[in-house]
This record gives sequence, C-alpha cells and structure tokens, in this order.
Amino acid sequence: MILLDRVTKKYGKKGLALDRVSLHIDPKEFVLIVGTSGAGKSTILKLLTREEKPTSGKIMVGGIDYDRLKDKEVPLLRRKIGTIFQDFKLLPNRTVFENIAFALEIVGMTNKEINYTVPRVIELVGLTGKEKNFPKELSGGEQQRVAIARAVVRQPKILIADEPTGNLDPKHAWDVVSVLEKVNQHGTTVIMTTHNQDIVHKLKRRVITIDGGRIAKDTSVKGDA
Amino acid sequence: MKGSSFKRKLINSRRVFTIGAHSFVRNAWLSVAATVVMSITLGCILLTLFASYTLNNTVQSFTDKIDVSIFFNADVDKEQIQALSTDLRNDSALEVKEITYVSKEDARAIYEDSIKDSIKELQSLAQTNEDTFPASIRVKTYDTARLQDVVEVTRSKKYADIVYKDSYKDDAKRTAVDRLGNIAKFLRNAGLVASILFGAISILVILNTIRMAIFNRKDEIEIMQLIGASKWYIRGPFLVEASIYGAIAGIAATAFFYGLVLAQAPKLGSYVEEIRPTVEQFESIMWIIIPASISAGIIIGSFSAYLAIRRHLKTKTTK
Repeated sequence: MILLDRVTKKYGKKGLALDRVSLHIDPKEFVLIVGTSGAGKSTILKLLTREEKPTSGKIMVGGIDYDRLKDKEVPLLRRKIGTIFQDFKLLPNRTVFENIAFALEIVGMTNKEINYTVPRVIELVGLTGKEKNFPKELSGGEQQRVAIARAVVRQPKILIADEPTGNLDPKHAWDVVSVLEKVNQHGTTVIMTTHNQDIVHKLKRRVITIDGGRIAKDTSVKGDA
Repeated sequence: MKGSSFKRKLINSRRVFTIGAHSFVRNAWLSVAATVVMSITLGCILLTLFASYTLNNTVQSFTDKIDVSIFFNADVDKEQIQALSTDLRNDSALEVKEITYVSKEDARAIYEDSIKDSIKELQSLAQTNEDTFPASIRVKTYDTARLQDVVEVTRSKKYADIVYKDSYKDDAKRTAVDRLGNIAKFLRNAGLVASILFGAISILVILNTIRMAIFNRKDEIEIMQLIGASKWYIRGPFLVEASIYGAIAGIAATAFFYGLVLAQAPKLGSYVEEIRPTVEQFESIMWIIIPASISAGIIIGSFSAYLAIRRHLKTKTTK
C-alpha cells in the first residue's frame, strides 16, 4: 500500500532530513514512527501527504506513483489520506459539527449527506452531545478527537497522525490512541509518529525508529527486526 | 456518475460563492474602501466617455457650419456654375461633401430676411438693382482643410472669367474649430490618463484588500489545503469577493452618472448646446452602459484578486 524506496530529503545544502529511507507498509497496518526531535519522522509524513517533494527516491501510495503526480492532482490524493496534527488545526470559529462537515463540504457533498455522515463519525470518536461546541470549549483530547473525526469522515484508506498525543496529558493521550485503534479496526491503515514511549510499549504494534534521517530499527508486533 | 460529478461541482460553486459573499460582509470596511475606489475609477471612465462624446459632437457641429462661398460675376449663367460644381464634385482629392447653389434672388431674399427689422436698411435695399447680390455656391468638404484646395481650383485661370470672389480670405472659423478639436483631444487623453491612474489605484487597493483577506484566513486556507480542497475551492471565494466589489462599484458608478450628471445636463445645456444630443445618445445606450460598467468592475476586481492570489496564496509543494 505504501512504499518508500531510497527516499532522500535535503533542506538546503547541509540539512539532510532523510537519507535513503526505504520502507513498506501493508494495508490495515498500524505503524508507529518514533525518534528524537529532528530525526525525520514528520518529514516522512509530509512526503506522504505531498506537502513536500523528496529530493530523490520513489514514493508510491495506494498505487499512485508520486513522480507522476501533478500539482493539480494533489488535492485528490489528500482526500484519500486522512491527516491529524499535533496542534489539531481546527477552525476556531466553527462548531464541532461544522469542523467535521468542512472536510465533506470541500468535496461537494450535499447537506443531506453531511447531516447523515457527520453524527455517525461524532459517535465513533465519542463526542456525541458536543456537536454545537466550539473548539475552545473542549479539552485538548476532545479537540484531537474532533480532528480525528474530520480526518476519517471521508473514510480514507490511510490515516496519518503527526504526534497526535504530543499536546495531551496521559489520560487524554490514551483516549486519542483508543480512537485511532478503533479506526484501524475498521480497516484503515494508521501511521502515527510519537515521542511517547508509554504508548509505544502498550500498543504492541510495528515500530519504525528513525535516527539521523535513517531507519535505525523496524520492529514488528512480535519484536523481530 | 457524470451527473453526480456535475451536481458536486454545482454545490461547490454555490459554496465558493457563499464563502466569498460572507468574506465581503466580514471585511466590511475594507470592502467599502475597495468598492469606493473602484466606483471612482468607473465613474471617471464614464465621465471621460461622456465628455469625449460631447466635445466630438461640438467639434462636429462647428465643422458642419464651416464652408466656403464662391461668388460669380453677374453675367455668369446657371449652366456655367453647374459645370464648375461638377468639376469640384468629380475631384475626389477635394472631398466635397455638399454644394449648395444660391441664386441672385435667393441671396437678396436671405439678406432681406436678415435686415427685416431695420426699415432704413430695407429702404436702401430697395434702391439696389438685381445684380447687387451675386449668385454663389456654398461648398462644404468632409475635411475642412480641403476648403483651401477648393478655392485654389476656383481661383485658377480656368474659372477666372466667371468667379468674382470667394469667402476664404477669413480662415479664423476653421482655426477656432481646429483649436476646439485639439482641446477635445487633450481632454480625451487627460480622461484616459485619469482612468488609467484610478484603474491602477483600484487594482492596488483591491490587491491589498484581498491580501489582507488571505492573511486573515491563513489558518483556514492551510487546513483546506491539507484536507484536500481544490485550488479553485480555495481561490474561488477571493475572486468572488473582488467581483462583488466590482459589480457594486459598476452599479454605483452608473447610478451616480445617470442620476447626477445626466440630471444636471439640461442646466449645462444652456452653456454647451451639444450636451443635449450626447445625453440622448447615452440615454439610448443605457442598457449597454450599465452591464458594460458592471462587467468592467468585475474584470478589474477579479484581475486584482488573481494577482493577489498568485503572489500571496502558496499552493505548491516544495522540493
């Protein structure tokens, strides 16, 4: 489903963010990418969402060869990938319902379709009753669950989460991880970057460790490298 | 499938328009400023057009009155005069527009009519004989500069026996019309320069207004890009917003123009006669002026927004 083949990303002449990284992720996998700050975790995610282009190497996601992807096709790619950010990126002047509906509005869904779909996703992330609240009226964990709902409302095959628990206390962090597990159980491939070793140990999923722009370790569920 | 895609595009277009309209209302003060400047630009263009038409009509009206009279000796008969008229008409270089024959009797009648209120002059006229007023022709040319060529022909040896004199010695009328024509040309150019200047100011003001709107919605735009909004969905609202400035400015400018300038025109008409036909012309083409003005506003607005978007709305990925 996801393939990175000797991908290198340089910022300027000296800033080597990724150095010939190769990895393969199967459909429905839940993959954790760990590493220190600046190791290159977020760069991998940005390359997958085509926020950035690799300096060299090949990327393929769901059969799409990024080398052949035109700029005007990027929005279509992003509609197939759900994205969650550490800082939630919610619209402060829109309610929970409107924030989630926003992802459907931009693809031209009718109000009827939106009114049918959004409450079901709100229920999935456990926010029923909070539809009319604004982001500032919610806790960090709740805000991140709104972001997850927005990311999965179009039922993407892949969900990318960049440090989704980075701004949350342990309890809320687990709430968010639980929701992501639930999404994964519905058949969505989840790729999540994290610093949180507690989550890494408890989740018991495939862990890819990045160090200095290279894959230092790729450990499957059973712990084999 | 195609029907569904069309429906989604339609829904998206409606949403783009709604977001643009909301943004117009949300940035009320900036919107008012942009609309006012654009209204001035369009008003300036309309006034320039109006002034240009009025001056052209004035020049035309004066030009129409310029002619040269060729007077004939008393013994010249009508056939000889007709032969000369035909020669003038047949010479294409002279650009003859019209030749009017004025007989001795007609000349006397015209003079009599002009002095009808003066008994003394009428008495003097009664004492004159029938040859006092010579027969003549009045020649008009399409280009008043050709009148000189006309008299060069009539003063030639060929017509020396029949032509008594001509009225061309006084060139002041033509000089005055030429001067008026130059003033018209100057005012037209000045209007054009003012329109371009205000047009440039409009573009700058709208460009900055849209730039600020882009800045205000920076977070929203970033999120839209990240969750897969199309370029059109992101850019469209700004184009709609600027088009609304243009459309309102177009309506305001025409309302100002027709409501104020044309309403005051009859008063001005007492000073410049040619304003009246211009007003009539503009009233008859109102159904063209109004949509043209609105379209011009929309074009200026969306062009400015396009420039702002190109410069300040980054949608490309970096390598």
